[in-house]
Amino acid sequence: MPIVEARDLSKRFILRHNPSGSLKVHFLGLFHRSHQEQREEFWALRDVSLRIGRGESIGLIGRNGSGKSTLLKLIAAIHTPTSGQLLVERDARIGTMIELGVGFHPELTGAENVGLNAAIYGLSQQEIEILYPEIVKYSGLAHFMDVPLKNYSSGMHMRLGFAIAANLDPDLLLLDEVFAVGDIDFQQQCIRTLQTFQSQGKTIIFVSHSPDAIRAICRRVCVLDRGRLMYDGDVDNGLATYEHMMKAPAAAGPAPPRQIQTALDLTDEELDTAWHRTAIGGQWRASGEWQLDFLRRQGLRPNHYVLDVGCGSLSGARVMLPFMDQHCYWGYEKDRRLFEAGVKIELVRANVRPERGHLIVNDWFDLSESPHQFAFAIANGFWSRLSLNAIARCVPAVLKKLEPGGRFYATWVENRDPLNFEPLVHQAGATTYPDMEPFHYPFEVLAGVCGALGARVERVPDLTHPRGESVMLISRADDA
Amino acid sequence: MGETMIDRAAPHDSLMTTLSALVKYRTLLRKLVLKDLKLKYRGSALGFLWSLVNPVVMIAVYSLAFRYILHNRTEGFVFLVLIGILAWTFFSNAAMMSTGAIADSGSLLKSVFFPRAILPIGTVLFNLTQYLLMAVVLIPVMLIAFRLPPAAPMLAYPVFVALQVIFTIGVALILATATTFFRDVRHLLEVALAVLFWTTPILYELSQVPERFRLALLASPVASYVVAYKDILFYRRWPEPAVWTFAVAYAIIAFAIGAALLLAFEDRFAEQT
Repeated sequence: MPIVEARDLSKRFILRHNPSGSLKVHFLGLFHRSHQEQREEFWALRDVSLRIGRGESIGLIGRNGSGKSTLLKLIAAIHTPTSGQLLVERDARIGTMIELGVGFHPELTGAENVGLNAAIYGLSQQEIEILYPEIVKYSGLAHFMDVPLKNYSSGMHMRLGFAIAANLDPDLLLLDEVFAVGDIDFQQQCIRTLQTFQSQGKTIIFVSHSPDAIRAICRRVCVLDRGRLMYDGDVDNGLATYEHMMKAPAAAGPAPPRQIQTALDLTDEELDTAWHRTAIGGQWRASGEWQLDFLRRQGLRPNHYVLDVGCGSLSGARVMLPFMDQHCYWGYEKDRRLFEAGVKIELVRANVRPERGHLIVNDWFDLSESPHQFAFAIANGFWSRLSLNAIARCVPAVLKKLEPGGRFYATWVENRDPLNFEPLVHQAGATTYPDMEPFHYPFEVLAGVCGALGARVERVPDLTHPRGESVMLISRADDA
Repeated sequence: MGETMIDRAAPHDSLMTTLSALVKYRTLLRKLVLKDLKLKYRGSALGFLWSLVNPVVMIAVYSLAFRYILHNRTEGFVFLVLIGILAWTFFSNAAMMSTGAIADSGSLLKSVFFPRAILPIGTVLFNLTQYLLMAVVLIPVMLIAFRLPPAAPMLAYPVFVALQVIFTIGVALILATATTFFRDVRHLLEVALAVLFWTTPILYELSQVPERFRLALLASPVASYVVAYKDILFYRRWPEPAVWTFAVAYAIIAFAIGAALLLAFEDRFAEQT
């Protein structure tokens, strides 16, 4: 059970020019257009879907204004979502460190401010009295507790704020880059505290621009850009995606194409973090090479007709097009952006001409463009991008285009326990889900679906997939 | 899933959840009131005594003006004006302060979740505390000075204080909510308070007003409470049914409107401020 789950979560703010906070503006607006309040929509978050399990530590990164803080504030109930759903565990104690020491009053003493601030976080007098010695000890400001806060340095101010927030014992801690301003000692104290929280099984959602802090605390990173979730996965890839994104100019327009245009001049290592490579699950190069290698081991020869189902950004095509005879390679993809990135960047970089084969792009599995029946078909990693319904549509569409005795291989992220519905965290750090992208499936479920569609399914004992995906062979039942 | 998860996108704040949240956050409410009291009196040599100076000086000035310039010979004028001024000061200060309760707390609203109603209610309770402190000192002094022994109708005093508190909380919720959207509310309120001060029988008695205006004046929002206090404490008689009716009706209506407004708009406070 996740502690936080966002489904297509969006948040719109209305920016007011000439704000009608005063009646004068309303009144003048009746006569002069220029005095009217101008409203502008600003989507701080757009269709973000995310599941956060208990005990996870997630880093939110992205440039300023990308929606990170808005996401925290929605979870904390400070703002209300505009659309979508945001489920938060009912009994979870939420600790917010969105701004430290807010609500502090300069004329009150440290001790009085601790009491007031803890009360703002919802603590009772009794709880405050129990926590007070801890807070004072943690802050290291015992000598200053009876001094008015106006005599504190900004560092002491922050120390006290963090000491309060750190001792509130929340189940879910929301942090917004609060300790970037402190000295090294303080930052390290903060990180140690957060690591203690982790070991106690608390959930941490952490907004930061500091790769070191993210690495020290988080095991999963979400990259936001202009309100959209661009990446969700392991820390190294996430930070690389972010760095890459920061190099690109922050121009208007959808993000993926912008990255694609700059991607041509990059090294392979740099490109590994590009959106069109990470979107298929990572290991872009190795995955494509495995695909050809695997099919050759299954008997693929250059003169066979082969169908690459879900060819994505053409990691397979890059090696298969040169290997196959002219016109023998066919690729199908449903995501045009991925596909275009493949053609415009990857094939150009690899100096492979797409005209050697045929590429079909549509999102309803229509393969009728191809006049051929295929000897081999392969869906490499495609199914982690497909819901079960889409798979149910994909399988018969492919089988229909297989020649008698033709074989359809599919790799998928396997969930070995059909009754486990939790997200799976894999060795490389990526997380997969039973009900959202990237998907994982139990073999039995896929076999059942294929069986219901008149297909025969068997496992292929192959452990060489670079992302550790399992392989199955699907063939027409009437072939037997 | 519906049992254990809350959907932040679903409308969730009913009056009951807000009230239970207020109970949960009662420590905050108390600390906010204490904070305002400390800030008000800290560092001043006379502290709380300053609070007594203001009504005493006002009463002295009004007494001089009415008695020696206008030759008003109302019996017990000083005590009557004191009762009226204290009750009026409670209401008008709470109303003025409440306009900023939410509108001026932007950074707090944007970084921590807590029941927003706490802020305007806190300002009312702060002013109530001041009122009670002054009343506890000044009213017994007056009762003794005017040789007024305790009487049964004085039992109704806490009831009317409670009704005035509910009424004032309602007004504070309305003003606090309205000010976050229209900053002009403050200026409108200043004008309204100036008018209300004279439509409330503070410096005069309802009995001195021509009979045909009496009901209209009693219908002025704060009038019923002031009239009741004067009846109870000075005339030592039970307030008339009309006074009870207005006092109860204003408390219920103001509180209902205030609570409804706050519940309808509190989601937008963090964005507006």
